Amino acid sequence: MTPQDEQLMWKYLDGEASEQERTWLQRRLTDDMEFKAELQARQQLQGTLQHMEPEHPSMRFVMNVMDSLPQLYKKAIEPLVNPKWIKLFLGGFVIFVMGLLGYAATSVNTTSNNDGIGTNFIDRLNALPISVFTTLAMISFSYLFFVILDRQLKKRFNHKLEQSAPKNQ
Amino acid sequence: MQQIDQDIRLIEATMRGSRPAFQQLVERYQHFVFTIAHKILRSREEAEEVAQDVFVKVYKTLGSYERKSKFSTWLYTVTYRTAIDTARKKQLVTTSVDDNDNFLQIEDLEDSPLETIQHGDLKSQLQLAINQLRPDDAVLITLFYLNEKPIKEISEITGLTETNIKTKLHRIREVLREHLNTQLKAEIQDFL
Repeated sequence: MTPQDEQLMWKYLDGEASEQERTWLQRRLTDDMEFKAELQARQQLQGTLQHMEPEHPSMRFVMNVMDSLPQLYKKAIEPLVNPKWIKLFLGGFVIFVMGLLGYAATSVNTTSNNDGIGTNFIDRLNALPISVFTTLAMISFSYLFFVILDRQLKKRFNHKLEQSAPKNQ
Repeated sequence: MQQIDQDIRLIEATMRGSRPAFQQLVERYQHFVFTIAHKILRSREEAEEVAQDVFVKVYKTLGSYERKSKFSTWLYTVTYRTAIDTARKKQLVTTSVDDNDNFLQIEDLEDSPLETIQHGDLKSQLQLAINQLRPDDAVLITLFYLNEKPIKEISEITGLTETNIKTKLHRIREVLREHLNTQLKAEIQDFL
């Protein structure tokens, strides 16, 4: 058995032999019984090696690893109010105020009274129903309330997460 | 492919702050990481310590994992290097079959060779023979068969060239075969 024969056998068993090498080997297997026995011995070793099992660490291994992990990645806390809604609300609020002011300003051009532009503008605003201002004020306060609440809750959750993290770093 | 996708999902979840996701990764790879470390260090306690360090190191550096290679390849590379460094610090012999022909070592074995052979099982005899190989060679065989890593990935993990790995694998397997033959002959003689 030459080292080249051995090398070819392992190539064959690893599935790396070329077509030409496989043909040559098949022919040799039918002609040479000693060669066949040698290949079978290697085939048996290959089979046993392929069925090896990994070793097992202690039962507490996973827990030990988890206990020794530092707190690196903070859990992302979803904001209480979706930022998209805040932006949408803000946009609507600005448009509403602009519209209101625009409506009041139109009185400047349409009025026949010559008491002055400023007086007309304020009169027009005063003429608006009181419910409009109440609604506007309520929406503004609600908006501010939610934004402040969102920030406070975020701070509190982050603080709690930091406290629950293991100390051994 | 499915396992690679799952690994990526678990890594992303870990980086979003999910510790259970990382626990799943540890559960999935603990045996292989421990086996590689044990093959190099030959002591269960040290191997477990190194395996634990490896997972903590990987957790800390998850952000630097570029996903160019499989997560398992990256994890085993960290394991291999950490274990080799520890072995060097402890001055364990880690040179390979090519450096010395007489590479089967008997020292530092935890299991008694006689005990293992008495089981009469080819698998345990083979395990014993692998444990007697030099650490570098035992790791090559482990990566090739146990972890079913292609030569290219083994090259990435160990830093050896693909040709070098192929040559080494061929020689290691021949030595294992001869070792098993000798053991078998000795057993038959004892039996007679």
